[in-house]
Amino acid sequence: MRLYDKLINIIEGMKGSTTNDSISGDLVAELTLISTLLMLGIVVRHVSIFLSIVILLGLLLILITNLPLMPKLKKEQEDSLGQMLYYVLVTLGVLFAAVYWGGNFV
Amino acid sequence: MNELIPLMVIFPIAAALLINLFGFKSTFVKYISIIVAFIIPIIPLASNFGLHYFGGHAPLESSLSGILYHTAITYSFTAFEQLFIFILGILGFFVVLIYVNSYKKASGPYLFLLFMGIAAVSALILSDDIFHMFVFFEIAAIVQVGIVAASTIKDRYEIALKYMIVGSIGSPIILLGIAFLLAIFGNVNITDIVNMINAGFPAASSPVFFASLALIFFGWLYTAGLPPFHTAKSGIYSGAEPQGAALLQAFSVITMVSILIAMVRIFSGLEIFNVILVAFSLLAMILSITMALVQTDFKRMIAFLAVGELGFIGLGMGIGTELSMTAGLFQAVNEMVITALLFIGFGAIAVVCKTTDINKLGGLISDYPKTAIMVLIGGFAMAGVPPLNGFQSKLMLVQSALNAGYPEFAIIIVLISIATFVVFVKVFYLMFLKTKPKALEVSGEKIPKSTIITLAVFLIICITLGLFPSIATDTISGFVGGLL
Amino acid sequence: MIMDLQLASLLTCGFLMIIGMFAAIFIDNVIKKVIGIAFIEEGVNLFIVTIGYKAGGVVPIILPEMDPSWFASNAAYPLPFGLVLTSIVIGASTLAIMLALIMILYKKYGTLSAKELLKDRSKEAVADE
Repeated sequence: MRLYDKLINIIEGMKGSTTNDSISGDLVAELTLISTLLMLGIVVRHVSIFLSIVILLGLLLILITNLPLMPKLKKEQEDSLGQMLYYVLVTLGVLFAAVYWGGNFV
Repeated sequence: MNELIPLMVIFPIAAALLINLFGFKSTFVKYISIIVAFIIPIIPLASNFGLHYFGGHAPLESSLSGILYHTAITYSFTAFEQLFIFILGILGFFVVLIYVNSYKKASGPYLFLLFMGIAAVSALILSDDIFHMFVFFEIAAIVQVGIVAASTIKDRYEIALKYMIVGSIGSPIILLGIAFLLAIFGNVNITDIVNMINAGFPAASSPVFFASLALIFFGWLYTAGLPPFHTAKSGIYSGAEPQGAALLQAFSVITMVSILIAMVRIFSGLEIFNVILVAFSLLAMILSITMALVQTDFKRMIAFLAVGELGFIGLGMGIGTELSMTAGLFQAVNEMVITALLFIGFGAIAVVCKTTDINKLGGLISDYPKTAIMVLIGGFAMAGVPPLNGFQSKLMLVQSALNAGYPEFAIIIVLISIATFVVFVKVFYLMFLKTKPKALEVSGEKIPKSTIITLAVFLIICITLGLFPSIATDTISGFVGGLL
Repeated sequence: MIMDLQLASLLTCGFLMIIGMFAAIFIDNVIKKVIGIAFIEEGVNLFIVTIGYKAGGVVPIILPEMDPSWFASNAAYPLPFGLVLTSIVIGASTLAIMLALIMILYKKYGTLSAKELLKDRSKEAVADE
C-alpha cells in the first residue's frame, strides 16, 4: 500500500475525531507519543547499547503494526473504576517485583 | 520567634474549626475567613528559622552509638519551607477571596475544608517524622475528596468515590512501607533513620529496605497522581470548582514534594530509586500530555497538563545532580502559581458560559479580553516561553540533563514542552479566537473583579520569578545542598 | 504452641491484605469493595501491632517498683501501639466518607453495582445531547 493511503487509513481510524481541531490534536498526540517512546528506547543505551538496539527495533515493529496508537491508549485510560483499579494493581505488582528482586542489579 | 512554627499548622486548623462552628452565620464567616486567609501567609514570613520539638522533648543522645534520637515530633523550618508555605498562603488567600466574593452565601464547611487542607500540607512540608506525614497526607486526601463533593459539577460524587476507592489501595500501602521502616529502624523520625543509615546500620541493605522503598514509592505515586493514578487525579481536578481546583493542585504539588524529599533523604543510597523515579516521571509526562491533547473538556485538559507537569519535578529530582534537583523544585514553585492561574482563568469562562465542552465555545475574546490575555500569558508560562518563570525552570532542567550526560531527557523535556504549547494554543484558539458558534449564549455576565485581580497578581508572580529567578533558586539550591 | 505468635499474626495480616485486595478489585458490589478496603487497612494495622510484640514482654508502663534496666529489656515496644491508634482513626474516617458517598449514589441510581455506578460517564453525556 502506498504511504499516502496508509496515512489516510490512520486518520480515518481515529474515530471520535470529527473536527479539524481534534484531528490536529490527535496527530500531535500521536507524534509526541512515537517520538518520546523512541527517545526512551535510546535512553536504554546507558545500560547496554545492544539492548537499546533490540528494544528500538522491537518498538518500531510494534509502533508500525499498531498505528494509530492514540485511540487504543485513550481506551486504556478511561474513567471507569474497574480499569483504574486494574492498572493500580498491575503497577503495584510490577513496581514491587522490580524493586525487590531487581534492586541489587542496578 | 520559634513559637510561630507550630502555629503555621495549628492556626489554620483552629480557624477551620471556628468557621465550621459558625457556618450558619454567613457574613461572619466571610469576614473571619478573609482575615484568617490574610494572616496565614504572614506567619511564615514572621517566624524564625529553626526546629520545633512538640511537647518540648529535646533529642536524646544514645550512650551506645552516640547518635541523637528525636523523641518528639519535630518540625524543621528553613527558607525552603518558608517559600512553599508562603506561596501556598498567597494562593489560599486569593482562593478564599474569590470564593467569598462569588457566592452570596458562604458555606462554613467548604471554607473548613480549604483551611484544613492548607494546614495539612503545611504540616507535611514542615514535618521531619514520616508517620506524622502519613497522618496529614490522609487528612489532605480526605479534604480533596470533600472539596470535590462540595462542588456543583454534575458527576462530583462519582468522581470523589472513584478517587477515594483508588486511594484506599494506595494509602494502606504507603502505611505498610512506613511500618517496614519502623520494623527495620525502630523509629519514624527521618533524621534519625538517615543518621542510622550513615552510621552503617546493617539492615539498610536488606531486602526489607527495598520492599519499603517499593511500597512508599507506590503510595507517593498516589499522592502525586502520577500513572496509574493520573486519570483519577485529573478527574478530581476537573470535578472541583475552579478556585477549589487551583488550591487542590497546590496541595498535590506540596504533598508530592514533601514526600519526595523524605524519600530522597532515606533512599538516595539505593540506585534503583533514581531509576524508578525517572521512569515514572517520564511516563507521567508522556501519558498526561498525550491524554490532554485528545480531550474535549477543557477543564480536563488543564487537569491532565497539571498532572503532567508534576513529572518534570520528579525528573529533576531523579537525575540527582544539584542543578537538576534545584530545577525540579523551582518547577514545583512555578507550577503551583501557573496552574492555579490557568484553573481560575479558564474556570471563570466555564462559569459564565455554563459549559466545559471545547467544541461549543468560541469568539469569547471580544467578551472577555482581559481574562483572555492573562490566561494566554499564563499558558505561555506553562509551556516555557521566555521571559516567564516556566521558561527559567525548564531551561534549568534541560541544562542539568545535558550536564548530567542524559541528552535524551533534554530532548523529551523539549518535546513535551512543545506538546504543552500545542494543547494550550488549541484551547485558546477554540475558546477565544474561533468564530462564535450560534448555539453559544453568553449571558453577558461579568467575570468578578476578584477573579481578575487574582489573575493579575499570579501573573505578576510569574513574571517576577521569570525575570529574577534567583529569588527562589538561591533558597532552593541552598536546601538541595543540604540534602545531598 | 504450634507456631510462633509473631509469625502467626504476620501470616494473618498477609491473608487479610490479600483477601481485601481481592474483594476491592474483583467484587462488583461497592459496599463489599469498601469492606475489602477495610480488610487491607486492618491487615496493615495488625502488621504494625505485630512489630511491637515481644514474646513474654510486659506492658510498656513503668511502675515505681520496677528496675529500669529490667524494664528496658522486658517491655514491649510502645511506639507501634501509639501509631496504630492514629491509623485506626484515619481508617474509620475514610470508611465513613466512602459509605456516605455510596449512600448518596445509591439514592441517585438505585444500584450498588460498581460497574454501573462508577463507569466512564463522559461518553454517556455525549450520547444524551
